[in-house]
Amino acid sequence: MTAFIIRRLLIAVPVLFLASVFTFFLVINSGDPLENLRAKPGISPQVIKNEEVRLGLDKPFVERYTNWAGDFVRGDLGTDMKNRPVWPQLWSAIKYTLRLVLIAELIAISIGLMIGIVSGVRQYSGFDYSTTFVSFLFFSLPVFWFANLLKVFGAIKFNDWLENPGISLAFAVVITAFLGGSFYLIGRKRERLRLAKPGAGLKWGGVSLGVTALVMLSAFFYFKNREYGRFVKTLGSEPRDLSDSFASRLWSYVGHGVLPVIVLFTISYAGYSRYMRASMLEQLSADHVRTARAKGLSETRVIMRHAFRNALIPIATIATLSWGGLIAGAVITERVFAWNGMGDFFLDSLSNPTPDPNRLLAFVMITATFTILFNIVADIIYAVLDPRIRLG
Amino acid sequence: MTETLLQVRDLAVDFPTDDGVVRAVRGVSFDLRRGEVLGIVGESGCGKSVTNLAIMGLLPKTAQVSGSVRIGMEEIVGRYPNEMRDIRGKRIAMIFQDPMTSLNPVYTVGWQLVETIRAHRKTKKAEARSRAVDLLRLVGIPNPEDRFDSYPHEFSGGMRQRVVIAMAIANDPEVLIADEPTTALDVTVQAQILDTLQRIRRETGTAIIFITHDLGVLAGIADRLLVMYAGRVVESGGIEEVFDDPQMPYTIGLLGAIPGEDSHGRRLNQIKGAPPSLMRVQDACQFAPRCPLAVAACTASEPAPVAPSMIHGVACHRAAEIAAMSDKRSIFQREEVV
Repeated sequence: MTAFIIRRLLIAVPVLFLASVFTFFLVINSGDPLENLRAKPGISPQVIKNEEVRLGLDKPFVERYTNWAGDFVRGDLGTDMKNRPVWPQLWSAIKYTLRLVLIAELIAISIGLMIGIVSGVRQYSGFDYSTTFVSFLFFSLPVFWFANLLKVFGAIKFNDWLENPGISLAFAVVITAFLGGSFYLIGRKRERLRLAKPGAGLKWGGVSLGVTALVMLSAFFYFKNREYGRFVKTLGSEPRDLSDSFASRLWSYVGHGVLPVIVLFTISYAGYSRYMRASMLEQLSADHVRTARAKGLSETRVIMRHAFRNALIPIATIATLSWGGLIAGAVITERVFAWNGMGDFFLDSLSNPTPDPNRLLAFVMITATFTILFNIVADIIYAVLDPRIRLG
Repeated sequence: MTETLLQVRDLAVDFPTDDGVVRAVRGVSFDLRRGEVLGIVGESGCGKSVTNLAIMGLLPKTAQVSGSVRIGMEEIVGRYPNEMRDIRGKRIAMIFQDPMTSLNPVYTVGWQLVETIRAHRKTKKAEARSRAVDLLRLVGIPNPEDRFDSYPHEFSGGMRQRVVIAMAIANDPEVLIADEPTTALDVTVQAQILDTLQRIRRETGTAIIFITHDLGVLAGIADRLLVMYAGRVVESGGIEEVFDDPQMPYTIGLLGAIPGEDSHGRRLNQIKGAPPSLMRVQDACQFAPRCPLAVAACTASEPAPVAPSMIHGVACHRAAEIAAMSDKRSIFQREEVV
C-alpha cells in the first residue's frame, strides 16, 4: 500500500509538470494584463515599461516559465496584479468553497444513496417512478434559473412569512390529510405483502393523522404573534458583523449557506441517486444475491450486506472523482449568491478587468493537484472495497 | 416405504409478459423421499430450474405459482418472501450452477459460511467458526483453517463449488436442490463434486434433487428420474427402469443421444426440431411435432400427466405400444457416417 502511494505520487510529478507548462502557455496568451493601463490616456510609456518589467512581460516564454515554476516549487505563488500575495486570497477562497460543497455533497451522497437503494429495490414502483422523475427534473434544471427562483421563493417570500408567521387552517388540514392518507396507504400495502400485521393500515394512518394534527395545532398557537428576522440570505458567504455572539453568528452562517447548498445539492443528488439505482439493480439480479436469499437471510440483510455493499464499488469511483473536481468551485452558483469561493476567484482572475496570470496559475495548479490526489484516493478506496483488487 | 419429505402436486408457474403468458411449468407432481436422489433431466427451457426455484420461493415477483408444494406438513406455495426464511437454507437448501458467480466476491468464504449458520441458529461466533471449518473439511477443502479467511477469487471453480455445497448443507437441510452443479466444471472436477455429494448424502441422509441435462451424470448418482419436456413431467421412474426400458419417445431419443459402445462409426441419435414455445400451448402432446411415432390422437389432446404414485409413469398416448417394442432405439432414424 505504501509503495503504491509513493509510486503514484511520483507519477503525479511529471503530470503536474505537463499540466503547468500547458496552463502557463494558455494563461500568458489569454490576454494582455496591461490592456487597461495602455488604454488610459496620459500614461507615459515609461510607466508601462516599468509595469512590464515588474510582471516579467518583457522576458521570453521559457524564462518566464522557469521563474514562475521556481517560485511555485518553493511554495511561493507570487503576487497578483495589485501586488498583493496570491496565497492568502486563494486559501480563503478554498475555505469558502469547501464549506459550501462539502456540506452539499455530504447531504447529496447520503440522501442520493438512500433513495437510490430504495428505488432499485422497488423497481417500477410508484416510489421509483416519482424519484426518477424528480432526479431527471433536478438534473436538467438550469442552475442560474433555479438559483434565482430559490432567491424569490426560498428567501424573499419565506422571509416575508417569517416576519409575520402563522399557518392557515386550510394548510393544516391539507398537510394532516396528506400525511394520514399516505401512511394509511403504506400500512395497507405492507399488510397486503404480509410485512405488517392486519390492521396496520388503520393504525399507521390513525397515528400519523393524530400526530400531524397535534403538531399543526401547536404550530398554530406557537406562531401566533411571533416575529422573526429575515433569516435566509441571498448574497454573501458570512455574517457582516463578526463581533456578534457565537450562536447568532452560527445562525447567520446557516442563513447564508442554505440556498447555495440547496442548489448544489439538487445537482449532485440527481447523479448519485441514478448511479446508485443502476448499481443496485445490477447487484440485485446477481447470482450471489440469489445465493444470499437461498441461505434464508432476512431481506434487509440481503439488500444491505450483499447487494448494497457490492453496489458501492462503482459509486466509490464516481464519488471520489467528482470530489476531486469540487475544489474548482461551483462557478455559477457562487456568482449568483456572491459567494467568495473558488469559482468566484477564478472568474475574478480571468477578467477583472484584465487576466491576472499568477492568480490563474495558482487556481489551475491547485485544482490539478486535487484531481490527482483524489484519483489516488479513488484507487485506494476501490482496493479497500473490493478484495479482488490488490494495490502493488 | 420411506417417509415422503417433499410433496409437489400440480405445480404450475406462469410468467405474464407483454406478448402473453409464458407457461413455464404446467402441472408437475412428484414426491421426494428421505435420503433419495431424484434426478430431473430435460433440455434448456423445459421448466426444471423454474420448478425448483418455485420450491425455494426464489422466483421473481411477477411469477404466478399455483398448485402445492409441501415440506413435511408445511405448504410453501402462497407464502410471502419473509415467511420463506425459516425454510430456505434450513429445510431446503440450493446449490447453483455457476460457482464463479454464486459467492459474494467481497466477503471471505468463512464469513459467508458463518453468516449462513447464524441465520438459522443462535450460536456464538467461535462456535459458528468451528462448525464452518468442519463443513469445509467435510466438502473436501484442504487446510480448512487457513482457507477460512480466503476470498472466493482465491479458489478454483471446483473449490468454490465445494464452498457453495458447504453453505448449502450448513444447517443440515432435509432437501438439497442441486441445479446443474457440475455443468460449469470440467470433467475431473465434476467427478470430485459428484463424489462429494454422494458422501454428503451418506453422512447426513439429505435427500437431493439433482437437476441436469447430462444423463451420464445421473446414471452414477440418482435413484429415481424425472424427464421433463415443455413444462411437464413426461416420464418418471427408478433410474434403472427408465434407462433400460424408456417408454416415452423423448426419453428414448435422449438416451440414444449418449455416445456408447455401439455407436462407433455411427452418428448419434438426433431429435429433430426444437421445443415448442410455451406462450401459446395447444391441447396436444407437446412432443408430437418432433415425435416419429406421432398419430392423430397425439395432436388431439395432451396425455394425462404422470401420477407421482406410479412406479414407472409415462405421459404418452402410445406408451403401451412402445412398451411392447423390442428395439426402441430404432424409432429414431440413424444416419450412417459416410
